[in-house]
Amino acid sequence: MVRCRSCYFVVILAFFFFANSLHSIQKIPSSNAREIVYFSLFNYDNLIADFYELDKSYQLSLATYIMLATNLSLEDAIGLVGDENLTKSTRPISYMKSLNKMLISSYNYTILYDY
Amino acid sequence: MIIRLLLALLCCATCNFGFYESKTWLDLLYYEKIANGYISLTKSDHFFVTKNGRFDPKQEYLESLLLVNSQDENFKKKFPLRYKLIAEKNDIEYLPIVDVKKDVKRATIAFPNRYMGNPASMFGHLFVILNSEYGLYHSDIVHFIADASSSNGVNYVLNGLSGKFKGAFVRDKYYIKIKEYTYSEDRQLYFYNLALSSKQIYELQLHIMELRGVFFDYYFLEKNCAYFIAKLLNNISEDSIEMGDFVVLPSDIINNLISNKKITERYFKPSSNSFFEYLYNELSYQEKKDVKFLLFNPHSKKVFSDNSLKSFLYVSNYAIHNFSDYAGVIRSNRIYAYRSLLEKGVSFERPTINSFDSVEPVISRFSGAYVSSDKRYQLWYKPISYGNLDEFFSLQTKKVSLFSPSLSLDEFGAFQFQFQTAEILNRVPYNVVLANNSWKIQQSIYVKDTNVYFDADFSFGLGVPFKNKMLLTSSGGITASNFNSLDYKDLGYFGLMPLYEVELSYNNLFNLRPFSAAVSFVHRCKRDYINVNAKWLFGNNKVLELGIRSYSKDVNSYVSLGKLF
Repeated sequence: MVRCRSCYFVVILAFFFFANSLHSIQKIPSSNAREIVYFSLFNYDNLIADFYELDKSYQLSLATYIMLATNLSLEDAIGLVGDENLTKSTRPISYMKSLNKMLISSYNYTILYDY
Repeated sequence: MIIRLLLALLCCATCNFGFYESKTWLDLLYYEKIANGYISLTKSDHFFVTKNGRFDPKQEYLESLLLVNSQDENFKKKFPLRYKLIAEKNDIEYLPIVDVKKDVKRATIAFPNRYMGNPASMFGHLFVILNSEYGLYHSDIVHFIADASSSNGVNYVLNGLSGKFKGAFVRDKYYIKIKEYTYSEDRQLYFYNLALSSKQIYELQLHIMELRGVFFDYYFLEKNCAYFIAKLLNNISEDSIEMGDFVVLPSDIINNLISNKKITERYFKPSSNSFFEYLYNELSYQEKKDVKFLLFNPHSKKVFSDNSLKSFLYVSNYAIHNFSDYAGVIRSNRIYAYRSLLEKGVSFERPTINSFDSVEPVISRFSGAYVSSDKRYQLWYKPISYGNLDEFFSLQTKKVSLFSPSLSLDEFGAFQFQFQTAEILNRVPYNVVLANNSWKIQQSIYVKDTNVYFDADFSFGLGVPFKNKMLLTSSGGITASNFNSLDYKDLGYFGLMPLYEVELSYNNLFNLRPFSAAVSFVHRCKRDYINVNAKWLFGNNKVLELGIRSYSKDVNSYVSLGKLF
């Protein structure tokens, strides 16, 4: 019975931390989030190409969209969109979701929510 | 009505009443002068504040003045440029309530080149880019487009010529539009920076807000994208762009802006497919097969040459948009191709925007003279003529000429008048990836003595490239004629006749002296001809052509000298 009570305690504590961590994720304002989602989906092929070519104009633009909507510096945003892990995505939707995951894990921002 | 006018007089002692007759006011509401007054080009009622506003610029102005004077919020929101201009003209305090994009610092006019897949786009298109300080991919564009989705075939052409389509100004994202032009339609783009002040950029944005949801009758030839873009620019500029009454072409607007010194710089974005075709034509048979493999099959452990990979990368964006069933495979193979090149230390770059040293006008006219050994003399003028330089610089020739008159004098001293309604040549190298077909349309009317003759051709075929130097084009089609325009002879009957043509053309790509030559066999109007000709481009866009044409035992040589401008 005592053991069961402590289990409840751990679960409640875990839920509290989980809820708290969810709460700390900042939603990027919907119009900006929409810009970032559209841009990354629509320009997926060029964003991937930028990773391998000298011209990084699409990555720079995506980074600028992120910078304008968050507290990230342009350098941080460029670092984020230039991350090699993003090149593993072979579809626009998975690229955009990976970008969102990286935004959450590195900076606690999300572009994906009901808007 | 009288009471309202009196009110306007009372509330604004220094009113600028003459403003309703000014060019500024008339242009702003798209009024045109007609026999008994004015009529606005738009039928959208919500573009006016009075019931009769479409026909009465004076009443519209006076009513607007009242609204400006009372700082009417709805008017200020709906017609922000009208509000600004009326306030300024009448010393009324200017208190704007609309926001414009602050990051827009300049404007560019973009000219996507000819697109042969659509009659309305054969002369190009025009749109304005509102350049954001954050870069092109943060910029918006404004263009005038017609909704032609309800028509096709002959209906499409007739409706386009008779103003049955509704057109409107549309604001879009630059990155969306550029993708459509460069990947879906494979068009080259020219950009021209406009010399506009920050006040003009601000007013341009205000005027674009006023045009939301406002419809105009769209005509292919005169009230088209070029006409309305010029009208838009005229509303924020002191110098008006002059336009013709019958035909308004995108190139005319560009040339007018250049001659008025309204353009500061010129840029060019080549199509990726032109890079693909050039590289692909140089590939071996196996390498060409590999490019096709990469487009339609998941990559295996097979080894591909650098040029196959590069060639695939150049065409891959076009392929993703045009062979969408294979988009997943192409995307996966793109990453594979990039990585393979990277591992080998080979660089690859997409075609980018390049700047020109000087701002040159767009060549759209061609005139010249022709003399042949059978004592035929001819003067010709092509008032709308594009693509005449193509054959000197590439295997692709996309020529469009319309409404071209010419006058000939034959060996017997008789004059003959020719009016060529249309001459459209789309001669492209075929490859298994793009599967481009070549085709040609020509229609002319001849007047000789008191007789009128009709002559038309349509042919369709394939062009096989030999590296990037030669193109063998074979085509077949139909001639509908009572006059053989190759030897200027009355056929004595009107008939439908087969047309075959085999041509071997040569050009010296990227050489300093542009030169092209061709040998062809033509079966037309039941006769067989062999032609040999050579052309040089020299001086300031002058073209010298020397040729020999033979039919049976008749052999004639000719020389022609033309000037492109």
